[in-house]
Amino acid sequence: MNRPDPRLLLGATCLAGPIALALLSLAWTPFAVNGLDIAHRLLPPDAAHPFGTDGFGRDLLSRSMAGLRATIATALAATGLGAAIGIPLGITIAASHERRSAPLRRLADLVFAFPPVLTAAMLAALWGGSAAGAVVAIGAFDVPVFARIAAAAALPVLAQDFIAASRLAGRGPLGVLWWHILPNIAAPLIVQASLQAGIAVLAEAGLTYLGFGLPPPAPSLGGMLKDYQSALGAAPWLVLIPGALVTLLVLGCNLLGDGLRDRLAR
Amino acid sequence: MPRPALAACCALLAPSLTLAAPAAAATPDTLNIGLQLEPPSLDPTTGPAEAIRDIVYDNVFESLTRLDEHGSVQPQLAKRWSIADGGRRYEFALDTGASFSDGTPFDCAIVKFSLDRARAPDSLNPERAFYAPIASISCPAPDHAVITLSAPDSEFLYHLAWAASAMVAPATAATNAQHPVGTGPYVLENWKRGSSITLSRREHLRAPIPAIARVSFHFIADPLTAADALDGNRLDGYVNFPNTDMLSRFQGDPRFTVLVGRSPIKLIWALNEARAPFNDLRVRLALAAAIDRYAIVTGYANNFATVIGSHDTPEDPDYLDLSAHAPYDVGHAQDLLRQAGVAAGTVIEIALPPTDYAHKVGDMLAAYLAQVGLVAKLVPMQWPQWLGDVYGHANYQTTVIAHTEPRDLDIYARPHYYFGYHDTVYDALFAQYRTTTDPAAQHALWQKLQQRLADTQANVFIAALPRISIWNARLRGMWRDEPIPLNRIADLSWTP
Repeated sequence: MNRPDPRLLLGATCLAGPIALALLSLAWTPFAVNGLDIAHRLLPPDAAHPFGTDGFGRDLLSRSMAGLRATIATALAATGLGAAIGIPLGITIAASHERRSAPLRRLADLVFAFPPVLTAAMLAALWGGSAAGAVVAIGAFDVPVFARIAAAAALPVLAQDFIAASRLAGRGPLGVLWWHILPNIAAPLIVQASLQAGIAVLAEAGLTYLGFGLPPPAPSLGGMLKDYQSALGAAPWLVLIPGALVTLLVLGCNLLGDGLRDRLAR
Repeated sequence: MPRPALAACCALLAPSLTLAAPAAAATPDTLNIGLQLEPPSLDPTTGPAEAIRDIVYDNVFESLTRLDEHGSVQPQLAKRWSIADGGRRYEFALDTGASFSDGTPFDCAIVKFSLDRARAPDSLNPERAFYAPIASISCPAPDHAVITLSAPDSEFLYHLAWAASAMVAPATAATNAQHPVGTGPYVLENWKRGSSITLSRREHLRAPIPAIARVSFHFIADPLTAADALDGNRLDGYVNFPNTDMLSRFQGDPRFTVLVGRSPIKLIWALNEARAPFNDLRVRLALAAAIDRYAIVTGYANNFATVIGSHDTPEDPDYLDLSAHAPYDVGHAQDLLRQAGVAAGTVIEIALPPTDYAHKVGDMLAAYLAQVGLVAKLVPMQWPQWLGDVYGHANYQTTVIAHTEPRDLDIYARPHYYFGYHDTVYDALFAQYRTTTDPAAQHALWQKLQQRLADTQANVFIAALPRISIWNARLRGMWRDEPIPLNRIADLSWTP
């Protein structure tokens, strides 16, 4: 009997709490996310406010729950966007003649050269900071990552006889892609998706920290780190808790990715 | 490390890396001062930004008069003056021993050029209205200027002390924005964009020679980075420290002097009355009643600020305390909004310049608007965008802004100011005030003006902000209060 990989278990454990809090925030938070309570400002964690309160008396647990929701949603959407464009692109590159696919390869290289921060800054300059801008910026960076993984994985699959047989049987390019190629390259893509999700969490926190992500007053983990950093001396929990949540998410994604890689390689 | 992760880590570490460590104050005649904002230019006669005045005024540029720490008008390039003809004729004896840093001598021709340029129809001067009463400027002698006004102006000498009234030379006026040339004791040594501006003491100055030979202004917007720079002796002072929660870190430390003084800075929620629904008095009153200004003062300024009810601050001797005006009353605010036909869910845009106060107060305003059924859309902006869209073209709904100019009730009488405020009663009162020379009548009129602004809820007036500065304890000569935004380096010196 196969014993579960400890990294899988640890990764899932790291992610379970934050994801549960984020999902719960859709229906309930202990206090209003933006509700002011000046009389109870800068309270350390206690029974009423397990994560304490900020300088405006806002409940940090409620804000962290909403912030987690925003961060996780952005990370998933960005990773999904990158995968949705990158995987078909990579398979197209693998299936095409090298000379014909050269422009696509160069395009992928060009996109890869733009870090999300730069892309998000450009989008923010055009349309203002937004969650959609962060999704596009991070997702655009993910496109060449998924394209490369998909192309590398698809090349040996495309050389298999059953692919030629399927074509001879009359299946079109999309059918071959969906029924034969994707199932055979899914393992490395799933691993990469979990790793990219961790990177996306960190990138989202960085972008909102810089003001290129979800605009205030909606809470975000990066925004909280930015807003509360000056209170590090007087109220360290304001920074430590959002920082710990980002760490948990990233660590969970990475451990999950590592565990999945080994598990799927067996 | 994958690039996105590296970029994000860099972003998270940015505050601790943004300060290119300036040299510590090892020598007794150099100074490193931290400021929040970098000025967009260095010409106070064409740019309205306070950051310009913070650096160049009274250091590089001088005016005919100046304000002392208590806000009193003192001689500067005008050694003395007399007023005649019922307040219409001002005669100035000029300090012709003064000169510009490029060698241009200062005389009456400079006065005439500077003030004619400031009041010209195509003038870019941010306070052009100050010079509207000037009918003529004549020069009977190089050291003697006569300014004739079309009507008495009780604030004329006071306005001449502002940075916008700085004396400039014809040959260099057009290039002062980048290469400032003034009569002050300091000249621009270098400007590292995005980082610092260094001024150095002019050679061949007349006594008294300023003790500080070189001063660098470092632009550090993040309070934590600024605090670390002070703690690490990389800054000798920080003017207008933005985060009151961090003051306790310095107040008990013998290495620092923390000065909490009075200033003319008014934190307001400005409403564009040229646009609906802010042209409706009921809406303006509703917005004022919707917010708890005392809570904002506690939440943002840790009770270091003072709640106000009009566009004036307690440091002004003519201040009228209207802090009880428009008290926090959610029910009343909702009633007024209903009467005005403002539907629940209406979106109110709040433009936020890139300052700590704007973002914190903007967050709180959003929460208060939600309580009365409105939705705040916070629009963060960089200064060039704010100066262009909001201040320049009045293309905004509302904005959170600190007005730093003292006794600036005249802005509500300006026809094209960005508030879009037009009130004939106010205009008549202001015209009456401006031509009144009796101090008691002036005092009464000034208070009536404040009352009128409160009654018409010209804006939502939130708080008078203090001037909080943190200095190396060995420095002497710093101003506690700030009657007008400036940092007079010539007054500073190191104790042995």
